[in-house]
Amino acid sequence: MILEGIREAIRLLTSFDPEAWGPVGVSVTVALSSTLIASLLALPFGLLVGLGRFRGKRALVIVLNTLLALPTVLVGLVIYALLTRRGPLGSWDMLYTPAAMVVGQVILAFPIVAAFCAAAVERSDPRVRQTVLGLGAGRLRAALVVAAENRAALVAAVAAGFGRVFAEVGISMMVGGNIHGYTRNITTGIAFETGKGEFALGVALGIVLLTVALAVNLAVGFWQSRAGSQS
Amino acid sequence: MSGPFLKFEDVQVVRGGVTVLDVAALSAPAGELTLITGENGAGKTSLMLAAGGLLDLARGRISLFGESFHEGRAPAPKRLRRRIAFVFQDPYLFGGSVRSNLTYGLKIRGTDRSTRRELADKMLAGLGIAELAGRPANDLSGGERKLVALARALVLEPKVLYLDELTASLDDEARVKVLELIGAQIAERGTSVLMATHLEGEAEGLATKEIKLRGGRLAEG
Repeated sequence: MILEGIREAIRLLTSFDPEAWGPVGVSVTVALSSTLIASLLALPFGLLVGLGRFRGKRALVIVLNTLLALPTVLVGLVIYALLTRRGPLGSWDMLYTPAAMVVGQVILAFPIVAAFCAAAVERSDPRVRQTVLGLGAGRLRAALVVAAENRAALVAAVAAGFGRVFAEVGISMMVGGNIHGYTRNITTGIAFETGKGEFALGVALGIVLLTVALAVNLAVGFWQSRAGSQS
Repeated sequence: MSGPFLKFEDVQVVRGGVTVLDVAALSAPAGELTLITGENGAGKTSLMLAAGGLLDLARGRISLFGESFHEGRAPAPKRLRRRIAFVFQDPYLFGGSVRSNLTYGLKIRGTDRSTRRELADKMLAGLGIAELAGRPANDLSGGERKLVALARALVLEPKVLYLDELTASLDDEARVKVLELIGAQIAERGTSVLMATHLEGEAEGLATKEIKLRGGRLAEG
């Protein structure tokens, strides 16, 4: 059955069947949007936590690390409760839209990117910051140089965030609603098609999911090897 | 002897819960070379970093050219830090070329691109390492790294130069050349130099004052 599924999957993908490629488009668009927004927020936050010296820093790091294991259904539940018609943000009319999926995935990716970023810069070579400050830079510039010198680790943090949101199903199902041609993405598509007994389409979507994950990791690996050879 | 460029008043530095520097009073003359000597772990690097405004002070105040420069949390204000250039004991060079390492400090001071490049190449030539300009900084040997770090500091034309174990990994020829260059900086530009070393007799003839440290405290004047 699996071999048959793989054969059918290849046929669906190579014939550019919209049933297979539609959810791929939703997954890629939503995951890229949420990763971008989460990274824009989480990278500066991670730098602040990693390089800053303030009361409660250890507690904040523990909270961030705990949030790495945030269950997607819990995030989905909270967003659902906020966006449902009778919820506090019900008037926004966002439930069962790609935008709601993006919001949930930003919450999921934020602690991953922030925690990995903070850990990377905190463990980075202290001479980097000392050197930049010694050359007359201010604190902000010094932080940016530390980030630049640790860019391979920061790219890995963003990739980890992307991997998490690209493969999640709970948020997409609960606040996206798996609407055909609108919010159905790869993971909700796999769950739905498998439930219907359409294994071939489920396998096809699974193949795309793994291929995208592989492509992202290859790109990150290539970037890291380049960054490593330059540093 | 000129007036002091650097003054410590009741300075204490604590790192990891341990007092690494405890100096009641210290001064270094302007436009001259002051040696900071002591065994490994005597507090030489901590003294240099504190004097450069890069270490938190648990207590006390540091003045530079008569102006209050640093007290409390580091870093000291960048306006004042920009009078100083460092060569650290184990210098960090940025990824990229040797030339880009030299131009970095000039860039943050707003020097235009062509002048930056010109000054960097001139400085490298002055140190006899012009051929390193385009080389990746992280391909250099220990001695070359020290020379590039020195060039990166000197290209800023600082009023104050802090050198931490500068000559430790240099061969005799490079060592003599570097000390001549430091001497020229003092004579021609009036640069005030603080040089930490654990080598006996280092910079003899150049230094006008020696500050000995033992266990983070002044051993003698």
